[in-house]
Amino acid sequence: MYGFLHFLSLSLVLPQLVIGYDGQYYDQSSFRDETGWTDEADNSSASIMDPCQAHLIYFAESASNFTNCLVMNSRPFRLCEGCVIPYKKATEIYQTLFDKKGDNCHDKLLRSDRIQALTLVNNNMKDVWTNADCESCFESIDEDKVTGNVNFTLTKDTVLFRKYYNTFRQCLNATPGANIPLLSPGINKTNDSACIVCKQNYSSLNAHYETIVSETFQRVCMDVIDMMNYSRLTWGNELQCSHRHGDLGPVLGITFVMCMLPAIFYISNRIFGAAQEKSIVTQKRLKMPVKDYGSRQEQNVSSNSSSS
Amino acid sequence: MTDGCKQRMADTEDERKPLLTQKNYVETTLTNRRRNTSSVNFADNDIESDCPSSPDVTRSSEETEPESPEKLLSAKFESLDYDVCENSLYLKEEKKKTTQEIIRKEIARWFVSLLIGVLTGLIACFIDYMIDKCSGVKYDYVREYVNKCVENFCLYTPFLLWVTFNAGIVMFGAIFTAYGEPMAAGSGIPQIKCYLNGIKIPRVVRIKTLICKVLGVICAVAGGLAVGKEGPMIHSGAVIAAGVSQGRSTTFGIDFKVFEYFRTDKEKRDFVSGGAAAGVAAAFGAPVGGVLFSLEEGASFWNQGLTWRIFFASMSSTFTLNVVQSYIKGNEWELSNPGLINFGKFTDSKYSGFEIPIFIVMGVIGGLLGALFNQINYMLTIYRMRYVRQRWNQVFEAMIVAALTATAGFVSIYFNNDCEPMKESSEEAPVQFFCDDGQYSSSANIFFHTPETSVKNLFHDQAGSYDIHTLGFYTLVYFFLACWTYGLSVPSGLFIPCILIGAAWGRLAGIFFDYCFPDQDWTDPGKYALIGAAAMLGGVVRMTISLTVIMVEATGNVSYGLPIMIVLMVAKWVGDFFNEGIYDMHVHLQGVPILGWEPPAMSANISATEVMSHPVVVFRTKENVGRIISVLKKETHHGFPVVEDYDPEDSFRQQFSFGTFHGIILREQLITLLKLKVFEENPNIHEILRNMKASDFRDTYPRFPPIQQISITPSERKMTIDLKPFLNQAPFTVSDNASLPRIFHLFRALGLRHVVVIDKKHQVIGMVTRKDLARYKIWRHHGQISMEELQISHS
Repeated sequence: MYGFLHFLSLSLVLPQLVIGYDGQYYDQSSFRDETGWTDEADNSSASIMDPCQAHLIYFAESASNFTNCLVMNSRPFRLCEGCVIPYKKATEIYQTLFDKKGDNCHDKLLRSDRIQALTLVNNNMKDVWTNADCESCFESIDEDKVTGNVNFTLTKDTVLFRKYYNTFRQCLNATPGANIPLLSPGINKTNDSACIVCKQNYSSLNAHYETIVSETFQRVCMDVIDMMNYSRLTWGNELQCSHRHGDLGPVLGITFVMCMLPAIFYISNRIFGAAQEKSIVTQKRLKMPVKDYGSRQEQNVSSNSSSS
Repeated sequence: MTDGCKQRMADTEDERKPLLTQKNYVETTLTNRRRNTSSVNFADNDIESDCPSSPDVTRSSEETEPESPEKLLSAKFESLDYDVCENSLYLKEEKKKTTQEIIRKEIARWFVSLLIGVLTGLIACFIDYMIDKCSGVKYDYVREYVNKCVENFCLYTPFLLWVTFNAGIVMFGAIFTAYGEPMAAGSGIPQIKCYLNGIKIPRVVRIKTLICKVLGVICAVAGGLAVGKEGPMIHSGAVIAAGVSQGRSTTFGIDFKVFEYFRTDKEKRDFVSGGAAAGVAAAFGAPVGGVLFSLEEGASFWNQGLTWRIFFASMSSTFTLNVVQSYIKGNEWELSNPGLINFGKFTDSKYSGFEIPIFIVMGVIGGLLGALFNQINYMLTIYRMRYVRQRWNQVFEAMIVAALTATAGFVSIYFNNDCEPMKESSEEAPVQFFCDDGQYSSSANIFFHTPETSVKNLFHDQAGSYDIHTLGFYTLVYFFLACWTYGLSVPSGLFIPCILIGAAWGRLAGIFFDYCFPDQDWTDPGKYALIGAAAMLGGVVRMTISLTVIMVEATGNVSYGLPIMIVLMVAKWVGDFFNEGIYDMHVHLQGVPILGWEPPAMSANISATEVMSHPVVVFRTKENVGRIISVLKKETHHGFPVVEDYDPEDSFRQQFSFGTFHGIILREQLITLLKLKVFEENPNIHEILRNMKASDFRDTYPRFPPIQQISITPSERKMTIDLKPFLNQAPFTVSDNASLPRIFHLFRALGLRHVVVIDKKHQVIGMVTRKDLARYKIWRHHGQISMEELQISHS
């Protein structure tokens, strides 16, 4: 409970959020308590605040923190690492509230109307989190019940991946001419030196990504996917470093041979293959059947065919 | 009708008469009747009003006819006998029946149905799992080499690797089929259809066929051929049903001594229809579709209790599949995985009224493409029947097709570099090929999967996942590949290839609409892919109700029921204008004497005397052993009328009739009697007769020893057999002036094998069997209807 109060002491209004593209952590210290409460919650003193109301305020604040963080971290996508703290806090508050079944506060806040705003917001947050497969970035996420601090550890793979990624970026930055800002449209430079110098870095990054993909059964944390996607785009699209070519001669040759096979097969079968002979069974009839229906000439025809 | 035309017709009438002068006494009535209906002429092209332009035209069309295999019936096919032989032994057995026995038999039926369902489901799982594993290994290898080689200038390595993999795997499949069991080739649906129609297709429900079919289909699909595994699965279900219900395996010589009372054609047919339904249920996750499939294909013998049992078999097959699939996928007992091909749920399924004309147009396209498909396949099949007959040749052909399939795939990926950005993590790593990093090649994405995954992708990938060139090329290539593949000596289903082709051009249509009407929400390419798939499938196989239900069930979406039905209906009508469905086509090419739903139109004035076989081989009630043996050795007939007042030497009387009719005796009964030596002169004849049971005749079912294996001493040849206790005393007979439709209905509805034709004085004058009826054949071409008679050939 102390954690929530602690959180409450933070301001709802967030001044200049500075978040580097490189996934800097959402830092609590960057929010200064500069403006006070202008809300009605401010009027009632904290000591006698209605616990229900307090819950509501905590949740409102933490949810808006998360939303803010989500939007700010959306491009480049660093949701998982960037917003793990507000996410954990917000969902914990909801969970605490949710667990208090029987408490009239639970009923009042969670089940009193059709919209159920709190549940809606919470589900939204959870959806975003699971859609981004964020869980697979982390080894563990815990919230200290007493201090309200959130501790998390990244998986080894993620840490390693970030390391590769940073080396790759540094390499690009260090190589002259390769320093192209991400998402800048219309730039298509071919820079051979960057391609050669950083190829090793790029390959190890790529290879490590592939292992992560296979280890997590396709459920790779979205941060990692995004880093990889944009590295690939930079590498392939902007720097034009990926040279993928075919070799026309052998492919056409094989194709030609393959296409000749059926022709040879069918023609030779037609020439050398013996057509199957079919003998017509003489049917036992009171009246000879086929001769019944046709015209005069047919008799000769059918006798010809049966003799052949 | 012009006068000249009438004159010529009258000539034709007169032509008939002189041929028949010796048999005047049956002829008079007949000729009169035909006179009355002279507006119907059986010559080739004139039911409407066209007078044949000249006799020469008729002749030239006739000349080519005996050449074409579909105009021949094959002599090797026999009928199944669904008629119970009610002889005195059978009646004795029936009399001894207790309530317990009847109840036990009833319970056994349900138990067997359950067993059929479960085993079919398990086989389906096995096939699915093996295909998944094999093709997974193959594609992984090729993909790995592609990724390695695309930067190192060695792309011919994965190309050759792919070709070799395909040809190698398919070689095994073709060997299983060509050398193991040729009956396992193809989809199996035509064969099962024939079986349910009442034709004994040799070896179609043997365990060996099942093994070859299962292994063969795994190789064929994993080898990358344009085939599906659904048809073979239906066949497998039918084989399992035929095997399980008999409680023994003749091949392995094991008899479990259970279910002896199911060892007749009648009971076996019921179970086989259940097995086929279970196969459909397992293949498409469509239990209702399975029941309707059995209903549609074998509907002449049906009742409500049987339907319910078949539904039970279907359901238990789906259920088994679900359980096993849930274990394979790692979420035990989560039973929402019905069917091996699950087309995936269409979540956002909307269509408006104004789209129905669009669906109809798509149905027309499907019908036209289907007719083209069937026509090409028809010509190819005729070629194959004539020239590709040696087994090694068939294996080689299958390998060539497999290699060409790989070539087509590789070439289309190579030259059509359709790159799409990687959007989400799909199940398998997409192939990048020449695309920049961060993109994948969408043409590789179609070709690098098993057909089923491709279907799912085509149905459900977002708009814009495929380029127009990719889809167009894919449709074209796959159309010809599928057409070429069907009829090879490998087990091959036709559903999936058709669905794929249809889905590809349907998606193209969706993209086209999206281009014409941007910003409209109804232009969902996935929806049009589904409709296109239905249209194509309907145009090729021409099935109706069961196909609709299968599609509805496989997509788990009832709201598309109406569009799918409309599309299938239109496709069938359009296709039927040009040729028949591919299954029927293959049935006719094989010369199977299949009986349609209805007797041929315009056949009402054909009487029993024309239909029947005339000199009849009969036995007397007390018959000489030597004569029985020589007749059985000489003739291939299966049923013989038993008569009195007959003298085999009197050749004059035999021009007309063959004695007073008493009943029918079957070949297998005679052989059993000879084997048990039930001869009048035998000293212990009374003891033998007392100990004889109806089961003595059932024990050798369904493979009776040929007459050559029965050893009879010369002295025994002079003895006699009293056939009276064993013959069927009240078989179905018709009178000599019964019409063909009447006999046809009798055959079709009761599943008969023989009908004896008798005259007013109860004298046998002829026999009618299935081939006698099936040779009257109606042809519909381009709106013309004509009837002709097929000839019977040895092949």
